Amino acid sequence: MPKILIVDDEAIVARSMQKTLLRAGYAVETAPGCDQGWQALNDSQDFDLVLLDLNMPGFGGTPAEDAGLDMLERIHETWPDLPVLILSAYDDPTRASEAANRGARGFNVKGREQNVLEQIQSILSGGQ
Amino acid sequence: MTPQNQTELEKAERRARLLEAANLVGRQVTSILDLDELLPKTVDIICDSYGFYYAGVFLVDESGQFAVLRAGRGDPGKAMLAAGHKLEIGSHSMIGWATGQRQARIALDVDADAEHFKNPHLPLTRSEMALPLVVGEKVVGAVTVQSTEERAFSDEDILTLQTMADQLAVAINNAHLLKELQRANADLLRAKTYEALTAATSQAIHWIGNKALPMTTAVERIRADAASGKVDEEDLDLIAESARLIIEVKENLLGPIREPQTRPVMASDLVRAAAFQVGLPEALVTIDVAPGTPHIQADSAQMVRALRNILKNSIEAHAKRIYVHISPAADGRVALSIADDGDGMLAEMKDKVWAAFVSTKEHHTGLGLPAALLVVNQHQGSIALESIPYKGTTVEIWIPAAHAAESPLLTNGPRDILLVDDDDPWAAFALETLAAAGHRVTRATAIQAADLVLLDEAQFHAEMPDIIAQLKAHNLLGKTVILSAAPSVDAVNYFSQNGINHVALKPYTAAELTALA
Repeated sequence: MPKILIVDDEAIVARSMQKTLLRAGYAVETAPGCDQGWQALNDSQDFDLVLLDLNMPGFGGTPAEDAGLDMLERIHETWPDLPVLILSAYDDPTRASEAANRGARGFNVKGREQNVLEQIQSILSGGQ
Repeated sequence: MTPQNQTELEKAERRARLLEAANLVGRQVTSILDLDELLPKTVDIICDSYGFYYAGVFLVDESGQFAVLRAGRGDPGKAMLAAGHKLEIGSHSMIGWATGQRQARIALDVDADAEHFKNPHLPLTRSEMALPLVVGEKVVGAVTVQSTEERAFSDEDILTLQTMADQLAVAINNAHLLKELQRANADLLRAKTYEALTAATSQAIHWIGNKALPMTTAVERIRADAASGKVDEEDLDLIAESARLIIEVKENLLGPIREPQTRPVMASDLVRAAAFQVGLPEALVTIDVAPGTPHIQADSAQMVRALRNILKNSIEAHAKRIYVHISPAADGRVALSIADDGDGMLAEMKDKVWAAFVSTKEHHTGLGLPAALLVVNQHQGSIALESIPYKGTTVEIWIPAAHAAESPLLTNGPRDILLVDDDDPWAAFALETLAAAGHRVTRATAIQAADLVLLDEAQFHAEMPDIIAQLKAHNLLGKTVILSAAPSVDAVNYFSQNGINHVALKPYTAAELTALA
C-alpha cells in the first residue's frame, strides 16, 4: 500500500485530506510542520509521496510563508525521486513556478484541490 | 544736515519701516492659516520693525473666559507660554480690559496705569499697548506691545499696529473657521465611513449566512440519511455550490490585495489577454487604440484580473458586442472605455455595484466590480460606470501612463527565434524589436526548428495542446518560454506537467523582451 505524508499545520485540512487518501487506499501520516515532517521522512524512509502546505511552521518551528518551499528543496536534495505535491491557500503563479523549479510535481490551491487525488493516483501509478 | 532735518529723516525712515512691517504682516496673514506658525512670526515682525521690548498675542479660549497667551517674544515669551500664562477677560490687566471692552488701551507710563499688570517676566516695561483682535462683534484675542521707554508709542505707531491687529484678527478667525470646517469634515467622513462599513458588513453577514445555511442544513440531512445508507445527490451539490462561492470570495477579494508590481504594459494586449482568459471569441471584442497612446504603468496580472471581471459582466449581461477604445487622457493618464450592448442596469443599481456582495444575478458574489475598483485604486487610477437599461453598459478606466524611460536592446548574439503568436500589435512589436536586436525571428503557429520559442499563452487561432504536441515532436519543450500577461497557477501546472517549466510575464518593453532572448 503506497504511503503518503501530509505536512500541514491546519489540523482540519490535514485530517480531511488524510480521510480522502485513506479511503482511496493509501497509508497516510500527517505532520504539523517542517520539523515533524522531516523527522517522519527520516524515521520511516518509505514514503511514496509528500503533500506539502507552504505557510506553516518552518525548520526551527517559526511560522513562515514559504516554509513548504524550504522543505520541498530539502526533500528534493535528499530524495530526488520522491514526488512532492504542494497544497497551498496561495493562488500565486510565482510561487507555483518556484515550486515547479524546485521539483514539485504539482501546485494545488486549497478550495480548488478537487483533482489532487487524481494527480496522486497518476503519479503513483507511474504517470505524470 | 540740520538736527531738525536729521530728525525728520529718521521719522520718515521709521514710518517707511512700519508700513513695510504692516504690509509684511498683511501678506503673511493671507497666506498662513496655521496659527502656530503665524502668531510667533507676527510678534517677531512687531518687535524687529518697531524696536519694541516685547510683543505677545493672546487668543480667547473656547469658554470665552480667558485670553490665553499663544505667542510671546523671546525668553519672557517662552517662559510665559510654558507656564500657560492667561488673563481673565474683563480683569484688571491691560489685556483683560482691552478684550473686555473691545478697545485699545495704552499706558504711556505703566506705573501710573491702574490696569497694568506687573509681570515678573517683563520687569523693564515702561509703557504698554493692548490692542483687541476684533472680527465683527466678536473678540478673538488681543496683542500686547511693550517698550522699555515711557511714552514710547506715537499716534502713527498706534494706527499701523491697530491696522496690523485688524488683519491678524481676520486671519485668526479664518484659521478658526478652517479648523471648524476640518473638524466637521472629519466628523462627516467618520460618519460616512461607519455607514459604509456597516452597510458592507451587513451585506457580508447576509451573504455569508445565505451561503452557510445550505451547507449546515444539507449536512444535517446527510447525517440523518447516513443510517439508511442513501445519499441525496442534490444535498451534495448544495454543499459544493456554497463552497465554490466562498472560494470565489477568497479569490476575488483577497487576490488583488497584494501590492501591484507595476511596469510599462500595453493596455490593448491586456484586454486581449483578459478576453482570452474569459473565453470570449476574438470577433466579439473590438479593440481600437488611438494613435500615440502610451503604455500604461500597471501590474499586468492585476489589470487583467480587473478587465476579466468587467468582460465577464458584459457576457453575463448578454452582450453581443464589446467595443474597447484606448486613448491618451488628461493628466498623463490613459483611458480605457469598455462599452457593451448588453442588458444594462437600473439607475439604483449603478451606485451599489462598487460594494461587495451586491449582485442582481443568481449564483453571484457581486465581487467583480469591487475587485476591479480595488485594483484600479491600487494603480492610482479611477473607474466609472454608465449604464442604460436594455442599451448597455460602459465602464471607463483611467490609469497613469508609463514613464517613457529608455529601454535598451540587450543582445546575446544572434539566435533563431520562433514567435508563436496571433498576428496582433504585440507580435508586431516583438518582431520589430527582436530583429532590431540582431535576431532572426519568425512568427508562425506551425512549429519549426529554433534556438528559442516564445509562445504567447493567449492564442485565439491555435489550440495549445496541438502546439505543445508539435513542440514535443521537434524536441523544443526545453527551449520554450510561455509568455503570459497574467499567469495563473493552473497554467503553470499545465505547462510544467507538459514539460515546459519556464512561464514568464509577457514583456512590453524592448529591454524586457530582448532580455528573454
